[in-house]
Amino acid sequence: MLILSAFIENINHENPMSQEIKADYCIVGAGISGILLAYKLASSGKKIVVLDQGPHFTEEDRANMLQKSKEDLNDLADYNDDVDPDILTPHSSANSGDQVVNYTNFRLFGIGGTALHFQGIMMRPLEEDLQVKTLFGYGRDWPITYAELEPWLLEAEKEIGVAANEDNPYASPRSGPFPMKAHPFSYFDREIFGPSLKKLGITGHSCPFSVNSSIYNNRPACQACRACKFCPSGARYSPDRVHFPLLMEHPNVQIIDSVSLRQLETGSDGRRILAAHAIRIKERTPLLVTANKFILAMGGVEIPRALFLSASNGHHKDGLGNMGGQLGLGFSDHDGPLAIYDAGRKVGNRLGFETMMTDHFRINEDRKKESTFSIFASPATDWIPVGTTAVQWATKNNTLSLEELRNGMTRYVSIWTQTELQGNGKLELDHDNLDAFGAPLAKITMKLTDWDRQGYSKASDTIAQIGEAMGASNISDIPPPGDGLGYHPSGASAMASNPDEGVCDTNLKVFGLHNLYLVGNSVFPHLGSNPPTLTIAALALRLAAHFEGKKSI
Amino acid sequence: MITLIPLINVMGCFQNQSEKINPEDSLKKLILVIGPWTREEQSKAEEFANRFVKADPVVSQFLPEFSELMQSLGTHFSNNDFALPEINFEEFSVEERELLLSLSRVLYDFVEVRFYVSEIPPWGQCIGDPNWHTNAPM
Repeated sequence: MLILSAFIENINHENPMSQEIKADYCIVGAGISGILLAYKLASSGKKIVVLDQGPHFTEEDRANMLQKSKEDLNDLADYNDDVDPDILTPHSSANSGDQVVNYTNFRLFGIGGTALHFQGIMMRPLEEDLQVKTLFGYGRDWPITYAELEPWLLEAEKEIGVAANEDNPYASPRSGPFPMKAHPFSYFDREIFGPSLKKLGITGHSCPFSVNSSIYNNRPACQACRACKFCPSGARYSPDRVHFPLLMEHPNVQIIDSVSLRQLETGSDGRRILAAHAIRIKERTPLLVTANKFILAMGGVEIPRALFLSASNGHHKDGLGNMGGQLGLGFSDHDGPLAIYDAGRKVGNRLGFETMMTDHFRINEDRKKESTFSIFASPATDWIPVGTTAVQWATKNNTLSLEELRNGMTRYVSIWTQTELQGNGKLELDHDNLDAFGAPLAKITMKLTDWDRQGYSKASDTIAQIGEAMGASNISDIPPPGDGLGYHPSGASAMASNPDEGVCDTNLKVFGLHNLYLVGNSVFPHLGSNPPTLTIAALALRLAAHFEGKKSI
Repeated sequence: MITLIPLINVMGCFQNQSEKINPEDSLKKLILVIGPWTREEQSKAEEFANRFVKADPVVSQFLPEFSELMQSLGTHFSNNDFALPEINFEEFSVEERELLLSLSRVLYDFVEVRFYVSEIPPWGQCIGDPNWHTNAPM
C-alpha cells in the first residue's frame, strides 16, 4: 500500500488523463518473450495489450545511433543512452560480506528489450542442465525434462532463424535440423583456433547464431557490417524488426511503449489479478489495464521485482507467488574470464561475432566439483578495446614502440568463456533506493560459491593452455571472478513443482493466482553455461500453446 | 603503411621542438604524433583529432585537469611529427610519460583506430561478403 501511495503521488494530477483498457491478455514487457508470445496469440483474435517501459526504436533511430557513436567517439553507444535515466528503472546491488561481488544488469528497455543489442547466440541447454540437483547435488532441477522442452527449442530456432551446423559432438539430442547452415569458419578458426583446440583433445564447432547465413523469412544474409549491436543489414534477429511489424498487422493487438508497470492489483479473495496499474512515463498519467490473463515478460530482474512490488496486505503480503518464501532466491547469471593473446602472427578478420566455439567443458566436467563453461575465441581487434593491453606489451625499456603497437593489432586474439554458477544470489527490494515513481529498486546480492570460483579458475587455466597450444607470445591479465556478471540474470521467480520450491508451476502460472503467468529467464530453476535467449523464446512459444490448449506443436 | 614513415621521425630527435601551444591544440598534436595516420593523411588525422577534443567524457580524462602537462608534452614534438614509430621517454618527466601512455591507451581503444590500423573497413560499413572473414590475412 505504501508503494501504491507513492506511485499515486508521482502521477501528474495537473493533467490526469487516466485511461482504462480492457483486454484478454495483458503482457508486460515487449522483449523477445513478450513479443513472441503476443505474436503466437495474435491470430486467436483475442484482444492483446503489450506494455513496455522503453520506446520503440525506428530504423532511423538505429542509423542515427550508429552515426552518433562515430561522431562522439563512443564505441559503447547503446539504445537506452538518450532515455531519461530518472524515468527508466535503474538498479542497485549489494557489496558486502564474504564472496559477494558487485552486480550490474545490462538489460535494455524498449520494444525488442535486451534482444535489441544482444549478440544473437542461440545455444541450447544440455539435458543435464535441467537435472543438476538430482545428478550432481547442487542448484535446482527443472520440473520439466529436456525432452519436453526440446520441440519448443526447435520451434524457437525456426521462428527466430538460427544458423548452425550439426557438428557439435557435445550437444544434446535435437529432433530437427537448424533452419540455416552455419556461417563459415574464419581463417582464424580454420588455421589457428581449431588446430589449437585439437592439440588439447577438444573439438571446435559452429556456434548457433540468430544472424542469417542466407536469406531467411525475407531478411538478408549477414553483410559483414560488424556493428552487430545496430545491425545495419537486418540480418541479426531483433524482435522489433521481425515479429513486431507482424503483430502490428493484427487489429486486436495493441502495443504501448513508454509505459511502466507499477503494481498488479489482486482481488479481495487473493486468487486473481484484477488490473495492472501503470504509468505513461512521459506524461506521468495513469493507465489501468484489466484482463483475463496477465503475463509478466520483463526479464530476470524486473519480473521478481514486480512480484515483490505487488505485495498486498491480505493474501500476498510477501509478494505474489511467494507463499513458499522462494521469490528472489536462486538468482543466478553467468561469469567467465576473458583474455587477449598475441598470437604471434596475423589472425585475419572477424565477421562481427565468433564463428567457432566449444562446448567441450559443458559436458566433460565433474560437475560435483566445479562448474561447466563454454569457450569462444576470435580476432580481437574488431570488437574489444585492446588499447591498454597493446600499450603494455609495446612498452619496453622506457620506450613505447608505436610501430609494434600498431602491428600487434593484427595479431591479437580474444578468448572468453561463460561459466555456470550455482545460483546462490538473492533479489529483494531495496527500500533505501527508489525509482522515479517512489517504488523500491531491486537489490541483488550476488554471492559466488567456492564451486563457482573453482569453475572460474578452471576456465582461466584452460584459456592459458589454449594460448600455449596456439603459440601465443603474450596473454593479458585475467580479471577476478565476478567481472563477467550482469548479462543473463535469471532464476529469481523459478518454475517448480510446488510453492516450496519456486514461484510458478510448469505452465508458468504463478502459485496461488489463477491468471498470472511469467515468462523469461527469471523462471529458470537453473542456468547452464549457455546464454538463455533461445530457452526464453522456447518457453514463450510453449506458453502460447498452453493458452491455446495445445499439448504439443 | 608503417614502412613509409621516415626514420627521421623517431622520437628522441629534438631538432624540431616547438613552443608551447594551448592545451587543446597540444592534445590534437599528440594524437597526430602517436596515431596511425601518416602525413599524407593529415586531413583524416586532423578530422579525428577534432572529434576527439569534443568527445566527452573521452577528452575530460585529459583536459582541463592536465592542461599544463599536455602543453609541456607537446613541446617534445614538432609539427611535422606524424605516426612516429617509437617514443623514447628518457627526456620526459614521469608525469609526461604516464600522460602519453594513457593517451595511447585511449586512442588505440577506439574501434575506428583499431580498424584503420588493421586496414579493415569502418565499423558499420557493410562489406557485402559474408565470407570475407575466411580469407587469409595479407
